[in-house]
Amino acid sequence: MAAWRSLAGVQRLLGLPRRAARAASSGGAASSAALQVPPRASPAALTPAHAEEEDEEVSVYVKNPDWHGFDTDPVVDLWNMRLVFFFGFSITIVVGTAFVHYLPERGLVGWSRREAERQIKYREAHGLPLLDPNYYDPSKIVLPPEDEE
Amino acid sequence: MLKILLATAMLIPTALLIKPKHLFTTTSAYAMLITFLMLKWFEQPLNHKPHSTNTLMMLDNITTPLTTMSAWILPLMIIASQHHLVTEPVNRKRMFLATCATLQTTLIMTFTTTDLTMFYIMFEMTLVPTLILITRWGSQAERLNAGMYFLFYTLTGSLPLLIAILHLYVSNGHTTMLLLAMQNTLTPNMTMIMWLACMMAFMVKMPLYGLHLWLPKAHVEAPIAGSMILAAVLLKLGGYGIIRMIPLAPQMTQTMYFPFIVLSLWGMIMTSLICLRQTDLKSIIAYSSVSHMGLVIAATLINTPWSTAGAMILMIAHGLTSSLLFCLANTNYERTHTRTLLLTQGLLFILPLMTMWWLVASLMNMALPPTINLLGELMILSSLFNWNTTTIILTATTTLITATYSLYIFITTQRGTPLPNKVLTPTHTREHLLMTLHLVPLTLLITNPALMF
Amino acid sequence: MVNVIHFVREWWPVTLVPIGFMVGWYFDRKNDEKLTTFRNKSKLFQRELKPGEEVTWR
Repeated sequence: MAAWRSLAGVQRLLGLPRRAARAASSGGAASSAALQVPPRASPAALTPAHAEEEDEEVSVYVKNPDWHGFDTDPVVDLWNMRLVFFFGFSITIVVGTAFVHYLPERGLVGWSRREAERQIKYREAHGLPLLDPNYYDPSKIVLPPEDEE
Repeated sequence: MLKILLATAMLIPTALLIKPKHLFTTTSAYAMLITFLMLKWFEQPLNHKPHSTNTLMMLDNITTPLTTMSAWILPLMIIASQHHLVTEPVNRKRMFLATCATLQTTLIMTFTTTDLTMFYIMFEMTLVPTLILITRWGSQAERLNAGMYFLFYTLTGSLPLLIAILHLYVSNGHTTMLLLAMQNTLTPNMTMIMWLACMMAFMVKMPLYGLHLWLPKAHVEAPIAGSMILAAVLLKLGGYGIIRMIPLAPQMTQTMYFPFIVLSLWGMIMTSLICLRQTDLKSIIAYSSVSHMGLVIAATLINTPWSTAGAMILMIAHGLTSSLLFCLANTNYERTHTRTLLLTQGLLFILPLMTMWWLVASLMNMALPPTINLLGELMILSSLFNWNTTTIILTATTTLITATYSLYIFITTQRGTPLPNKVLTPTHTREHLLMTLHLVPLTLLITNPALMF
Repeated sequence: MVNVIHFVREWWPVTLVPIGFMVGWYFDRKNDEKLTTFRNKSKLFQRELKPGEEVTWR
């Protein structure tokens, strides 16, 4: 049933001619009311601001018992909810978190610690001093030629 | 770099051209997708140099977290505004979304640019969409006054910055931030006036206590999206600017920072005390922003590695937390149509699940132990303590008062007896989604705080 | 056929953001190509190319 409803949603969202009415989910009164309410929900309709606010707050639930708070049109509401959940949670939070977790380490804290332990072991084994006053080997530094420009 | 920027810029025509039925769905989904693509920026080269450079832009570890946060706030703004825009004609909805997307584009450019002139232009550019948001979609007539305050405080504060940048250009021949920081020809002849000119724009934007009067007005009168982006990102422009400007004049900062640190620390206590006496829900959250930002100003000015890292963490944490609190205040406002604390008591009995979000948000705001708010505050507190031991009296008092007013918000809204004769609609999926999308990054960042500095 | 036209008319603005992404990608490539002029020209960081290596980065 739910699958059929979502299918009906797709064809309405794509703007295809309507073949099947949305299956009523609950309550006879609610569904009959849903059939009678004119499609005021199409956002193109110009509604005066704050004119029928009280009326709307009641009627939205009469029209759409499982309202998600996104839109007055039930199909748009449902699909808005689904897409936002998909892109928000499935893509950005789940895949994004996994992506950030498997990125190379920022700041190299763990690497420098491992490297330090490796160096200490190496130097102790070879009897070298643990810290050398020269960070680079002085014989290896080649200064740029003086005559350049 | 341009991939993300142009994609964000293309949100503007998308919002203007798409069928009204898909308007909110498409824009919010794309905004989230852009945030996802932006996570690629966290992949930093191992030598810590700025990466993804082109001739005008760069990314480093100050830019990336702030930009990603502002990109994440955009879909949340859209989701948060869907209810109060439902009665508006479709063209105004389009304009709203286009304004938000413009704001987002300019924010990305502000955060990523290397050139001071470009930075200044984009810094001012962010004022325009925000002003439109405040003065067009705010709910009361006072919004015009608030817009005036907002515009003229920040504009007047930043005009000296323009003169300083032009002076730098004349004396150096370029205004690239990285080169200016390395050149050091600037510092000896940099006068007090010059330093003030460079910093004052950001002090107003942060805001420093004494220059903060625009902020509560703008926050209170702005629509929910405006409050969110103001609290979450625009205040951080100030911190970002200070962090960027200080390497240009490190010696001058050492002699100049005392009055500003004193003002910010004293202002933290003052604004937290003001919080305790507010009657307006949004106003409390606005003043709590001033209080938290005072800590960030002090931390950025003393400019040690710990304090800068703490300032970054606190900016990210405060961005998400205050945005969350504004969203919660807005859900109350949409139901009760009032922000007065006395009239919105006892929501625990009406909206029990919302109480949980309120609890978590208040705890985050008062920096409960595992949160990144605490991490940032601790780093700033300890570096300030290292700078001068007396500051611990001020900072500890602030922490205490912060906890008090966070609990004050929670207790006054949730406990007590609800007013009779109020019909409140139940909470929607949208609202819970909104709160969750704020809280999940905050919670996930606890596990990896190194992302933020 | 009508459905296809209708589909395109209804959904073409959705492609704007991906188009922006692709155009940005193109300009990023172009900018990087511009920066290749300065590749391995820095006196401080320049190095000898390893055998079989054409450029230091691409």
